[in-house]
Amino acid sequence: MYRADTTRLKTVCASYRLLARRLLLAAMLLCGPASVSAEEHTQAEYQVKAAFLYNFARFTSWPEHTNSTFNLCILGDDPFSEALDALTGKTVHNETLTVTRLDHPSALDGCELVYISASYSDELNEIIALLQEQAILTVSDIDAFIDHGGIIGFRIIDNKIRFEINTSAAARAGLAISSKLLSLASRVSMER
Amino acid sequence: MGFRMTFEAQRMRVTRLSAHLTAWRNRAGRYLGGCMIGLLALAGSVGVSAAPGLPADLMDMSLEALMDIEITSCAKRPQKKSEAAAAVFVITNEDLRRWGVMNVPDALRRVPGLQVARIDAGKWAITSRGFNSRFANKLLVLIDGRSVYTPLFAGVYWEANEVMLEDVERIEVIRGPGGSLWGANAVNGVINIITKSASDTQGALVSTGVGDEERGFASLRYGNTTSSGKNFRVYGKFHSTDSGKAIDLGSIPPAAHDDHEMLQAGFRMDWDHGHANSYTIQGDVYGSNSGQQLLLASSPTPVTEDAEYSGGNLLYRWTHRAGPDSDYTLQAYFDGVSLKSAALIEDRNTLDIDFQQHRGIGKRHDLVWGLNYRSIRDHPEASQIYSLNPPSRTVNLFTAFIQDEIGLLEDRLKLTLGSKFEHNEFTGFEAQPNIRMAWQTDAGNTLWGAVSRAVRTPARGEHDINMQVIPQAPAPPPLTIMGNRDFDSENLVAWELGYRFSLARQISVDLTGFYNKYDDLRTVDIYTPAPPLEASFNNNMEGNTRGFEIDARWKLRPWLELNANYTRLEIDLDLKNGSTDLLSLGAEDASPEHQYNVWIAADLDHQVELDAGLRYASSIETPGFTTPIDDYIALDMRLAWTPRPGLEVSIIGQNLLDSSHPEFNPDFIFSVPTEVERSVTGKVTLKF
Repeated sequence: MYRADTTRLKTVCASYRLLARRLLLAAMLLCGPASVSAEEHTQAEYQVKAAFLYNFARFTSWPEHTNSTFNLCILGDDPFSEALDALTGKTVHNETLTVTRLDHPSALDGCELVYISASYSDELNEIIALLQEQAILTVSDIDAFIDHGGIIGFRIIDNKIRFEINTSAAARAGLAISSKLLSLASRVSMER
Repeated sequence: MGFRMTFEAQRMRVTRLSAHLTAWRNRAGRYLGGCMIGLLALAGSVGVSAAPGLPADLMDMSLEALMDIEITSCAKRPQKKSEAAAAVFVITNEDLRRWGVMNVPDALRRVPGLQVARIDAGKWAITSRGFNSRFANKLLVLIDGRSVYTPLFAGVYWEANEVMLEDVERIEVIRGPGGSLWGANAVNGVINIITKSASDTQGALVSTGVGDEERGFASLRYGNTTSSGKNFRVYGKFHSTDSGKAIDLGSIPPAAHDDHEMLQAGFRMDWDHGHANSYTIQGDVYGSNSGQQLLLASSPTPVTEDAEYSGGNLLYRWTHRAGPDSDYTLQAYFDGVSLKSAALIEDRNTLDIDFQQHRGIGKRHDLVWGLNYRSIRDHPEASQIYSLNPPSRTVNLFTAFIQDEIGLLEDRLKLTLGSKFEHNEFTGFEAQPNIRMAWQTDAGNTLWGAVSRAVRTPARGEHDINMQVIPQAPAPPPLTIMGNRDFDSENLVAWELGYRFSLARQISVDLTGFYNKYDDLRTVDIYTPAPPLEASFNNNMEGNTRGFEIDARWKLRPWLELNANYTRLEIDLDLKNGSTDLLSLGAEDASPEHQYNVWIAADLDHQVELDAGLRYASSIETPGFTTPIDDYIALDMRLAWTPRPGLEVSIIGQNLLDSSHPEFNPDFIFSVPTEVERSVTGKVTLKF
């Protein structure tokens, strides 16, 4: 019985080898180079990040303030471009969301959420100091953003978007970040 | 019950599918991560218009779903989980936390289409769409691409295959045949448990607690990154579970000795080499003791013992991305399993090597194909109730699969054609083709249908065993069951139809109906006219199952979500002429005809969460037991407080509506069942 099995197995193996060879050949024919432009990558990345910004706003509580709108500000070069259009007019905490693009940090007072563009990475410490103790949620792609006192920093891990949170910085700003957001963060820092 | 052995080839297909199905939980309107996702099996990538980039309702996706999007490939091929041409349910890490479950089976209780029942504190009977048993043989279960379906008797030892729940990324449950990508034995469904990448488990986590049924448990994990950029984590977990409540079976004095203890440790490393190559190495070792009482020929009363499980596994995976629409994966794993008890003995080593490629061709075709080799060597000792002939055996399994997904009507219609071919040593060649179609309507709703053939290949026991079944006394005289070298695969042709839609933005609904036609189902045919009775396995049963599943999620408020699902199942089985089987038709009544789940998740404020869930299962009758198991309704609740970030304190109540209730009885190997008791558990989780 067992021997018969072995014989049959050999036949099977032979036919598998043939199948495998043909499949490999087919595979080689199929494997030409293919690529998507870096620009498309970036565009998709920032469309998703725009949705993250919206969620950051939803899952954070601000102290009472006088604005009737929720102001989301982009400081510096805007990597989102029209991706933010989908946000305009959304409601956050019962306020209508508006998007403002700013070239200079002096005008940040009326913002609830500020995305600090990488074009400001050299002046990051000054901006953080300027925003100190204001109820402004700071978000950025800049490396180690939360280690410089920023509140939420984006990271890309395994081709997916992740974020990290500095809860001490949030507390200084008087912001309450929901446990849901904290539980999904890839790193929560309580330093500085 | 079930003796089956199976050598399917599983693996990673699933992982990919997973990739696809990922965000599913969030259904309608949430985009499935990963562009390449579509490749796999079910996934229909009914593209969302050709606009470059992602669709406008990204803003409606949950954070969890957003986190699953692969940003580089998405630009090309956005995908909705809701577009898959299959019945899929995804349990996320967040669900596991909020449901307050202590183990995977408890989480599976909320999945529509599954039947989940506890036999005792360690043993479970879990199946999809009927044929439930401790040795349920039509459901395939994978942990990170590694099959945990036992090829000796078929089924899954849920008491020995545990994971650290805090590090689970998601659990994907696909009802219906997963045949074309998953290989044999994914006849009625596949459960794919996927743990997080080590890059997502950085830092330390401690989770511990105590309760009246969970006597004590602790999980510890530490994750970091090496100086060379490799992410890793190490973990260990322990738990000790109290016995259930003894049942008075009449003939046997009521007693419960089903305490269950287990210890497990493991590691995982993930790293990239450039943008094109990703590597994973992971492994686990575990040991557990599961108390039980067995009926053995050597003793007139049940014998109390500890079943000892131990094992370890090591897995390596390399993924190469040749381009945004082309990738290869090579995976290999080794898995060693040992089980020692008076009734059931396993001693088995498995080596599995898997290669697959995915490649988009032109604008319309998405091709996936793969090859798999698996070698299983076992040399178990004879137990007190059975022996195997030959006692030790090496079984080789070869598998190939190919699948093409074709986009039609500007990608609104996805046609998927695929088949798996395998060769096993029991039944030779098996082909499992399927055809699937998903049509995305203008409103963004998805209508899908599929016709598939799937096989359940023989378990080694069904060919090689000589076993004594000791019935619950006073019952018929003992029965000797002989394996049958001519025992053939069970086979299925499944017809499925599903519709997913949204009512307004806040409500998403998933409907699935199926008709399964089975042939050559296993029977145990008695061939002696009078005691001593002897029987052998045959393929003398046919029949059909049909039913539907409805699952709905309603986001009432930003802080409040309501979920509900209902499962209907009918089973009709017939013995073929000449069959003298006395047991197998019992499968008709061993799964509930009606089940429902309703649960809410409420964020009472930023620090307090309240979760509550009701579940119902209608009454069942298990083969060999004269007393039916009554229907039951159970309430589970969780209240959690996060006094500061990284610290969560929770109290969890399970089965709160009654002091205890029975859920299932064992079949072929008779161990004394116990009832599930009300339990209250306190738990603290600290991340730093």
